[in-house]
Amino acid sequence: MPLKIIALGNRLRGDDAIGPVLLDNIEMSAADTDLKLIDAGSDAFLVLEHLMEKDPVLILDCARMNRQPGTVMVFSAQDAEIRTTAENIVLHGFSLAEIIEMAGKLGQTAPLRIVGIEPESVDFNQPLSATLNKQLPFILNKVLEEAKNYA
Amino acid sequence: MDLQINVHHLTRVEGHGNIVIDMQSGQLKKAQLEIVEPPRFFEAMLKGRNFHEAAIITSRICGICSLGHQMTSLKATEAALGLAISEQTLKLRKILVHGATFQSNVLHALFLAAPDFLNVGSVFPLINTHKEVVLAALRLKRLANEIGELISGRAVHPISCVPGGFTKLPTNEELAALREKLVTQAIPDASFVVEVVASLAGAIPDFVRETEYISVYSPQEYGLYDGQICSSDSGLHPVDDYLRVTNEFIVPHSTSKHARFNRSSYFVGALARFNNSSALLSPLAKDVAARLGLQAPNYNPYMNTVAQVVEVAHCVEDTIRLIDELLATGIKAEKPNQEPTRYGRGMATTEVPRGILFHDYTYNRQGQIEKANCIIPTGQNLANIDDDMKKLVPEIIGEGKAAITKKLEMLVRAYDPCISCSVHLLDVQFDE
Repeated sequence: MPLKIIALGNRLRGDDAIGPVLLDNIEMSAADTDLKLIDAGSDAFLVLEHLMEKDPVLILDCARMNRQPGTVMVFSAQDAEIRTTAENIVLHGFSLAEIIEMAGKLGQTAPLRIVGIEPESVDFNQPLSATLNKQLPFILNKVLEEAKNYA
Repeated sequence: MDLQINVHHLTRVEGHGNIVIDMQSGQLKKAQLEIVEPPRFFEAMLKGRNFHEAAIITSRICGICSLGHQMTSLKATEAALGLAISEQTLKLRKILVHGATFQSNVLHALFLAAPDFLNVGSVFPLINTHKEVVLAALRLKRLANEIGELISGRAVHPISCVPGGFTKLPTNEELAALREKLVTQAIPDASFVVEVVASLAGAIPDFVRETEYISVYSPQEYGLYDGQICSSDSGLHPVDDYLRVTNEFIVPHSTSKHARFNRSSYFVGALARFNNSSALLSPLAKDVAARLGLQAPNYNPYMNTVAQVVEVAHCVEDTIRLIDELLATGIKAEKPNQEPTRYGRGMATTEVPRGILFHDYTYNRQGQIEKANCIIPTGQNLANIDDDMKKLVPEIIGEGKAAITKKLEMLVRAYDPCISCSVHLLDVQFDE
């Protein structure tokens, strides 16, 4: 089954862009594979319809995990508590945590894994931080390794 | 009677807003929606950018309205640089705007507003009690995303619509397949949603406050993609007069600017569009409006959600009509017209789901933006929300604090506000 890699993040908000930037790099480095690459931008709700289909989903997202900036964690929704906090600004009141919960109630069929990357800064009109830029090749390899599990 | 309400961080809206009510000895001292989001200064990000970049940047102002911002940005750039577009580009863009509108309207009506009408806290209980309608809403949303993917290259943050046209065009076969889905899937799903909303009609608060309604207006069609500015008070105004219409001003309780024109506030969004252009709705949408008991002019802001549902029917039906027109002539190979005939100032307006949106750019002779201004719908609605609350609270003061709070929350949600743009940073806790 083809793997869908869905990037979440706003390219105008510093390290929040890490998902879409990784997607750009995957497009260049893995052009021949049957990976389906989806840039969901800031619309976490877009993930829901893909969770309702059969193909496995790998989400690339900036994640506050109380780790060093640039740290990468690959996990399933069951491995960790994805919290909805007042600090999180979420599109139309729906966070990814709620989208995952909603998919579960509606009859989710797609296996889901999440690649979370700890940010340094998510300020507007900033590029990716130097820390994440330096880590980019390592993070990309980690994503491609994870993708191989679905080949 | 004394009453203090402070809804800190209202849920089921985009971004952070607080409802604050202060009534002392029967006198309303304060009724306002506080906006506490920091401004993002998108206009500053545009300064110095090339005309190819403007729409890419502004489409990221909002994840839901990315298409609307992109369309408005492209139109402002084309106006500034004198770039004409083809009839085919115009029709494809109108289809994109329809898709974005019915997607957002369905999402708001079913996922954000309906829980209020059913007296449940969120959409989650609805999944248990109304799973089929939730799935129908999701199918409509999915189809709107397919429209975006087919015509603009992506469901979110389009890539193939550029100044002067499209870099990639759909085939006739792809458009025919999309038409088939609209007929066999979207129309029945939309009809199902209409029946569910009709069954909730009794739960919509009965509140009336006449205000000024401002929207895009076109004599040829229900105003969405383009037209003049229409005020229910003063009639039609050219887009170039948008600053005279919006009159932005600042208030202490909001980091977002407010707007006013002929009165202390005005309303933008689906209800304003309906009030100003209902005669131009598609036949199916007119039937839906009659089924839902919505007649123009309607002065109940809670009915904005109902107007959104009417627009779902209009957008689906009109998309089928536009596809038929495109298929009648066949898709022609075209390259975008990107040869500027002038450099200067261009202003544009489009209806995005939440209301009328303005972009205004001034380009230098190098094709770079020197000055930009974007006025979004939610900012234009904020003063109207405050004015609604000032009338509503004294009318329902005897209903008790919990009921008043709920009606105020419902009121703000009815406007479908998009207070901030999203960084949707995950917050993750590992058990270790």
